[in-house]
Amino acid sequence: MKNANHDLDRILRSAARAPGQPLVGLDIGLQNRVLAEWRRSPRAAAVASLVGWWWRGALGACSVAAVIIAMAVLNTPAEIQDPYATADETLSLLAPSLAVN
Amino acid sequence: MDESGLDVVACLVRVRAGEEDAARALMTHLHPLVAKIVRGHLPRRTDEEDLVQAVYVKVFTKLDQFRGEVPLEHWVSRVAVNTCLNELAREKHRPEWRYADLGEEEVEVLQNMAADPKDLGAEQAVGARELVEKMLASLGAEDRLVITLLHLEGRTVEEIQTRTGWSKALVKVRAFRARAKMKKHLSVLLKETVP
Repeated sequence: MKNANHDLDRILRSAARAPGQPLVGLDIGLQNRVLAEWRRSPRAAAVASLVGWWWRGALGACSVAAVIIAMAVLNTPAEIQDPYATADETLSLLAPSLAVN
Repeated sequence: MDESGLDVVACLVRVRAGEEDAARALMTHLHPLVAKIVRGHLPRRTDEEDLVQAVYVKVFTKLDQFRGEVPLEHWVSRVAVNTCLNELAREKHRPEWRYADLGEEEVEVLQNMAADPKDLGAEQAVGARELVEKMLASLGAEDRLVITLLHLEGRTVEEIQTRTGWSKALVKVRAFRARAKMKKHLSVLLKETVP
């Protein structure tokens, strides 16, 4: 293990001494691309935010619908197998005035 | 006003107001730092200039989050490191280089290591660097980062902590694990080497 440590340190020390390649330059093209992206980003962020709200809304609506359907199924007496009765129960929970009496 | 002659605070105010000239001046000021970080943590098959661009875009779009509690350079370093880490984490394929895949210079380095326990000569630094790069390519993003900062750039644990946001203990644990993986890889390569 001591040898392995020594070998690794030797190669890392040597690698650290290697001369570096020239770094990428900051030319006008790169600057312009960055600035263009920066200008675009508030609009992109606004669209992303709207899409996020839409998804949250859709998810919320689906969750509410799932809960109401589950409640309707539980409220329908077991001997009634009629799906229309379940649908009617769902409607009565959602909007009592629409339910068939 | 820093040594490059740029009043960073005034420049930041102008950048936040959307002034392009100020943004260009800030880029010029930060470029040596950003380019060096990107070079040190560049994933294979990623264009260096594209990654530099991604770092600057992130810096400018997140500039409102910079509160001035730390020097701007520290904050930019962290943004750059995290951008590189995310890019590195996307690399699915991490090849484990075998002896037969190595180039002439790298084989020569291994032969010298096997033959002589002393430090490698300066003329072998490039070969050693290439070999280390290949060994790093098989590591995960965080492991690669910690070895590069600690051993190739000679940063202290405190500097790595500042740059990455990791705790000191985490830096040490990651370095220990990354070194263990590299030692294993290196010993396999050395076993196949005929001095």
